[in-house]
This record gives sequence, structure tokens and C-alpha cells, in this order.
Amino acid sequence: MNTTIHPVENTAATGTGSARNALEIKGLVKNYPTFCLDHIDLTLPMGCVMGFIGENGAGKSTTILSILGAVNRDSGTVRILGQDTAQGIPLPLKEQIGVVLDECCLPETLNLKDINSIMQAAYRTWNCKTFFRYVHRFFLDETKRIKDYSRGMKMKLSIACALSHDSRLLILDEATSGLDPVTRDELLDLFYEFIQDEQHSIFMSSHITSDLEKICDYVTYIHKGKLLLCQEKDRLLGRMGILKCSEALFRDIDPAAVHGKRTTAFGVEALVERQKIPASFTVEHASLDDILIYLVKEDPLHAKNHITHF
Amino acid sequence: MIILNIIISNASDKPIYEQICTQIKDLIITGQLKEGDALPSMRFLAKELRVSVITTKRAYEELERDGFITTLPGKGSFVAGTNLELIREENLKRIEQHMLQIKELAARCSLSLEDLQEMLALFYTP
Amino acid sequence: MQKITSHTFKERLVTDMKALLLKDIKVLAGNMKLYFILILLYILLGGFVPDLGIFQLYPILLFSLFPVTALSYDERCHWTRFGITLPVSRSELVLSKYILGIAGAVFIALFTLAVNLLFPILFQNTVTDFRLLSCYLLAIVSSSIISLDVILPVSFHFGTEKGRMIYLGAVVLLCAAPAIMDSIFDSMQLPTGAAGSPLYSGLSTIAAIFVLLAVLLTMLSINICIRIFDRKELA
Repeated sequence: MNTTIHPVENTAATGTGSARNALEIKGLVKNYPTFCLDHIDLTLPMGCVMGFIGENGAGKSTTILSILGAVNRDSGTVRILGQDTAQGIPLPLKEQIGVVLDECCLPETLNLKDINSIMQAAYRTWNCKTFFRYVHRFFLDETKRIKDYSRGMKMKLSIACALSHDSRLLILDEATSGLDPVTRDELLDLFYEFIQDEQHSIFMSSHITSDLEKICDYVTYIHKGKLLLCQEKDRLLGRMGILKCSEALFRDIDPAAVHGKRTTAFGVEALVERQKIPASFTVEHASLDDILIYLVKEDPLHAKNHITHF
Repeated sequence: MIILNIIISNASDKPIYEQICTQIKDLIITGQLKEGDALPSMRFLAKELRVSVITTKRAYEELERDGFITTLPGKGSFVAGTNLELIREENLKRIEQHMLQIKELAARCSLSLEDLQEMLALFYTP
Repeated sequence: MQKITSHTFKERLVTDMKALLLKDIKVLAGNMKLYFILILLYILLGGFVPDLGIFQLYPILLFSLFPVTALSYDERCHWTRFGITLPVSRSELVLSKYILGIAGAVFIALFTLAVNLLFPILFQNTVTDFRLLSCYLLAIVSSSIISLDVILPVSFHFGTEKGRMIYLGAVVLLCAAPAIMDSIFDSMQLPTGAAGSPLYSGLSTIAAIFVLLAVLLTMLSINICIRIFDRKELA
């Protein structure tokens, strides 16, 4: 009963002449004893930003590790910047992928200069000037060892590393969780700068949706290893809303319009499709958080067996 | 670079791309943006306003569709020749929207068409 | 920026290994500076003693096993998960550990050789038997590399904790090599030895066998290790 999600429509967002997608995933399956990624399909057009949203344990990191080849896929294809990665990501392609994981995996006893010399040897396209420009921009101490850095500084260092070679696709796995709003705002600036180039794309997983609400062009929801939806963020937020009314009035609502509801002692709150709700009802703005919560928490049966088509 | 003020509100009911569209149209109508002036690139605008690139792209597409700007691939977007007819049409559209709002508000306080006409006439008395 | 369309084998061997070895060396140097210095002093002091004790040769074994320590530091900071995002292949990640161990053992062996050749001349007015010493060293280096060949695949597969347990077992087994050599030594007089003794002429052959064994086992071990690591999940 596995209905596949229609891949994201390739709208005008790809820009002039670039038909390639930055990331294409078809039928990705990964089986673990207690969990499985079940036929993930998604497409990220070139020059766009995709937010990959899901609760803890939904499968975001597993998906990203599968894309990177850190974890072996059971089936499915992954194409990065137009190249197939069935035999692993070709090394020249790795030069164009910048990865930031949820923790800074650099050895703690090293300092910035050490990191720079290691990266310079590893990457053909490593640019020392760019790296140190970011370092100075973030006020990172060049002589301190990494183990003396705060979490925010470690993350900034990871991002500086990801941006200091010829990256065209930035993949971030929960890179901003655990950071204060000020740091997150600075990082958002960086991401916007990164996508000024039409050939640059970002794939970021997060459960801090306030960042994603701003920059993302597309959002993909994942829950318990299954894809819930994959759509343009603006369109999604425009079509969905939160309806609050009494239980009695709620019974008159078309059930097809409802994607999750919460019944309280004083009424009903539901995630609905605006167009299918009569004009007499007031439908409020739904945030990405609300959509996730309603899709997943409030109607678990609904979310488990029903893959939403938009 | 011309200095432009484009302010968007997240709390407003209007989608952001519409707000951008409206404000740029205003700038063109009021003459702050003249024919041939270069608009900021879609990506730059997205960055400064903290919105997604698709949003600004849609705004520019609508502006182009309505004839206010022209986009040259590889060069950017520029203000099209100001067509007075276009501007008039745009203003008429806006007046209609306001009238619709007035009608709805009037319905809530049970004002009739005659009452409204009286109220409007007051604005025209010297 | 220049568009890179391929990484030639020669390039990769030089630059990728450089990056990985640089990292391991910097990490080890950062954490074990004192340890290194003590070992070097230990060897230097040994140069003053006329008899070449087998204990002088354990640093070679230790140096050959530093890759396991490097691996444990990698595990601690989840480096491997990040390492595969760099433009290096999984095979290179494995190979760099072998190179580290072999280079370390060879370096220390050469250092020991130098000390044990020079110091007797400088301080004791005796000349060490070069052939004896070098055969001995070759055998030790080879045995150390063989122990590395056993421990690395185990460490890559099971993690460094279990690898260390095997390490202790390997050390015990490895005592056999110096013991064999030592018993051979007992039948001659150090430092010059009985040039005509049949065992003495056989010494080169024994050393050669050790070296051959080391080369073969290393090739086998690298093969196995790469295959283990290729399938490993780095979640």
C-alpha cells in the first residue's frame, strides 16, 4: 500500500537554463531491526533550499547518512549534482559537497591552524583565505584547541570548513540545534549568502523550524521513516491553516479537509485546508511547527497510514 | 543602487509575495522607481527580506506579468516603461479591493448603500 | 575556482595520505608528546649499554601500534563519519593507518640503529656488528608490522576496545620473536659474534623470512581491512 510521493514540481525556481537537480532521491530504503526508511523520494532543484523536517528519531539523520554513503542503502538511487552515487560518491564530486553534521567531528586537540593544513591537503579546492575570513568573521580564536570551543563556535568552525572549498551543495544535519538564537541568526545570514549564487543549493534537516520558515523554498516532512509530504513552503503555508471552533460546528466540516485535530475540553483545533473550509470560519495562520505537530502527534493513525497528496 | 524601502509584515493576511509586488508597484507608480531602473536581484532581495527565493521570484514574475518590470536573463530585472493605462488599472483594482472591504465592514454595522454614499460625500465637501 | 574532473592516482596517494597522516600525527603528537620524548630518551640511554638488550627493541613494537591509538581518538570524536565526507576514499582511510604504523616502526628502528651504531663508537670504543644489529632490527620491525596486521582489521571491525585486548595477546606472542633471536644471540658473543658460526650466517635468512612474512601478511591484512571498512556503517 505504498503510494509514492510525486516529486516536487520543477518550478521556475531552477533559474535560467539549469535543468539539473542538486539532489535527487528515488525509492531510498534502509532497514534496521527496529526502524526502517521506507521509500524516500525527494528532489531538490538547483539553486534552492530544502528543509527536511521531522521529530527526533524520524529518520532525518539516517537519510542524510544514506545520501553521504556513511550508511549502506538497501535500495534506491541517489543522484547528487546530476551524478549517480550508487558506487559511492566520486571524489571530485565530494569537493563540491559541503557537509555539516550535528556535532563537530574534528579532533579536539587540534587548533585552527592544524585544521587548515589538514583541509588544505585534503581538498584540491581549499581556499585558506576564505577559511580565515570566516574564522575572523566568527571571532574564532586561532590558538585555542577545539576542545575549548563552545558548541556554537564548534558549529561555526564546521560551517567555515564546509564553505571554504568549492561547495555547490551544502548538506546540514541538525547543524543549528543547541545554538542560541543570535548564533542561528548569524548562520542564517551565511546560508543566504551561500545561495546568492544560482548554482548553490542547501539541504538542511532541522527540528528548529523558525529558521526554515524564512529561507526554505521547499519543505519535506518525515515521520517514522516515511515521507509525509514534500512541497513548496509558500504553497504549503498558504493552503494550510488552523481552525478553532466548537465540537458541534466541527462536525459540519468536510473530513477530507482535515489533516490532524486536537480535541480540548473547550473545543476543537484542527489543521485544515483553507480552500475546503467555508468562509464563515476563521482559519488562522499555520506555522511549519504546527503542521508537523498536527500531522504527527494529534492524529497518529492518520499520519501512519495516510501519505498526503497535495 | 537606488535606496528602496520594502517592508513586509509576517502578521498580515496577504502572502509575502503579494506584499512585495504591491510595494514595488507603489514605488513605480509614485515615481520612486523610474523607467529603466534596475531592481535588486531576486536572490539579494530574498536575503535582505529574509524570505525564500521562490517568494521573490514569484513577486517578480507577477510584476512582469502585469507589465511593470521586464526581466532580462543574465542581466536582471528592470522597471518597464511606465504605462499610464497600467497604473490606472492598478489603482482601479485597489479601489475595488478597498470597496469590498468597506462593504464587508458596513454589513457588520448594518449600514446601507445610502448611508455609505452619504459618508463618502462628506469627504468631497470642501 | 578550477573545475576538478578527476583525481589521479599519484595525486591521491600524495595529497590524500598527507591530509590523513597529518591529522593522525598532529593528534598523536598533541596527546602523547611526553610519551614520545621518553621513548626517544629510553633508546638514547640504551646506546650507552654495551649489550643490546631486547628491551631496547620494544619501542619499535609500540610505534607500530600507534595507529590503534589514533583509531581510538578517531572513535572518540566520531571522525570517521566526517572523514568520508572529505574527498578521500574509504580505502585511503584504511591505508593511512597502515602507513602510519609501518612508517613509525621503520623510523624508530632507524633511530635505534643509528644510536646503537654511533654510541658504542663514541662512548665505548667498540664497533657493533652492523649485520647482526640490522638483522635483529629487521626481524623486530617485521614482527611489529605483523602484529599491526592482526590488530588493525580487528580494531576496524570491532572497535579499538576489543582491538586492545588482542593487542595484549599479540604482545605476548610477539615476545616469541625477540626470545628466538635472543636464544640465537646466547649462542654467540656480542657485539661481534662468531663470524663462522652456522647460525650467524643463517641470521640473514631468518631476517629475510621475517620480512617476507611481514610483506605478505600486510598485503593480506590491508585487503581484509579495506573489505571490512567498505561495509562498515558509520552511523
